[in-house]
Amino acid sequence: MTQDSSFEKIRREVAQDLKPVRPLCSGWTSALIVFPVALFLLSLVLIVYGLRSDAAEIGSAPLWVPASLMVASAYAVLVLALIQRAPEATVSWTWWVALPLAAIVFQVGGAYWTLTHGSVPPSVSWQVEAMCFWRVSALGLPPVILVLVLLSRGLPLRPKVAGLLGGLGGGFISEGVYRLHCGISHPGHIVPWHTSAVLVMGLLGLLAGIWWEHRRLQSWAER
Amino acid sequence: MRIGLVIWVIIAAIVSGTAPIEPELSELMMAYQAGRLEAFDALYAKLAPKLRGYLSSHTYNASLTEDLLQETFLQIHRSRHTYAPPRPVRPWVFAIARHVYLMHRRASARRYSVETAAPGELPEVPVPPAMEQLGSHRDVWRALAELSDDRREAVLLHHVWGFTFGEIGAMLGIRAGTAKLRAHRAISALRTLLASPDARGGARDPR
Repeated sequence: MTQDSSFEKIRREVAQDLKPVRPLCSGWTSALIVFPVALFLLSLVLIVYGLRSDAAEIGSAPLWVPASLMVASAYAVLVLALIQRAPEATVSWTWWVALPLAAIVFQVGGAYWTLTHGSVPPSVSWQVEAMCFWRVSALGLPPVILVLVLLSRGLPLRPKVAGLLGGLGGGFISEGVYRLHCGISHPGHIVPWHTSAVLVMGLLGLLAGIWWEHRRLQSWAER
Repeated sequence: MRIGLVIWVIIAAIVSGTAPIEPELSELMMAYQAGRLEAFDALYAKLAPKLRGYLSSHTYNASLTEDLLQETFLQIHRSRHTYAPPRPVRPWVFAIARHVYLMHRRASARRYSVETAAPGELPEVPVPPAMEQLGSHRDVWRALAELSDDRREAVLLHHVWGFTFGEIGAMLGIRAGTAKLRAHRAISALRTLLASPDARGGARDPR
């Protein structure tokens, strides 16, 4: 095929669909969606479950600071996910490994800080503890779906990484909000029942990314 | 409008640490996003030769390069909303071209090498200017083909197309330091390959 005929063919295709498009917002701006979503989930948790029973005893800072820190971590992780909607902005692995790990350290550290300000909760059955896993996961689903929709509007060249980070970000939002209700702050409860729910959200995002990449490859192979 | 854009590009370049280039490409890209066909024509004229060279450096096959170039521009068209003005246009475009090449490679599960292309089909693959004195264009070209994909890509992106290591890092998903290291090792490997007359025939990338 000659270069001129290549150009003419592309030009014809371009001319057929040349409607104006609006550039995507930057990852920093798009990730601000975290805050209205967190407020919505917060209202939901406060209405349906209420604040933890020992909230007055713990005090404002040990209750709200770790929760806010989680939401801020979610914002940072989602920035990393959403900047990858632009194809030229692929994140180095040191960032996408280090930032979620730091968020998990904040999660467990924040819980421990809350624990030192409250009374030791009575021991509960594992079924009660497992309830936290299901609730954090359920609350995390809407933000994860929202982030995946936002990601699908761009062209992330590593959809698996973008999906993983998007899932983790959604999980951190729900964890930050649900933290205000859960009365058990011991790391022995947080890691297996809360952190695992966040990781499952990440896994969900990763699977969505794998599916997306597979579909892209399939459509390419069919041409 | 134009002066404002130029100032904005320079400020953005200073903040992001990249060279203040491409206000014209940015402006064309914005016109293209607004739906102007003549902006696409101008972008094609400016970008196609560079993209052809870049894709050739991967495929070493003229007809395949032409196919992938066409696919790259179609992908650019479909993804034109993902360009965020006033960011540099070239890293965005090259990242899409790289994506197209990688998708093709994965889909076809074939590896192209200098040996697969018939002599008449050899495309014009650019070589780093610093290397031209070490051998003929064809020797350098063959030596480049002996490098690993990672190293060849880093050295060409920096030394031929003038991307900063920060931009290369963002395109490839690696740190700027890693991109610099790859380019440096590629240059050392090229020097070794070109210094040895035996190696010109097809020695592997010395690691």
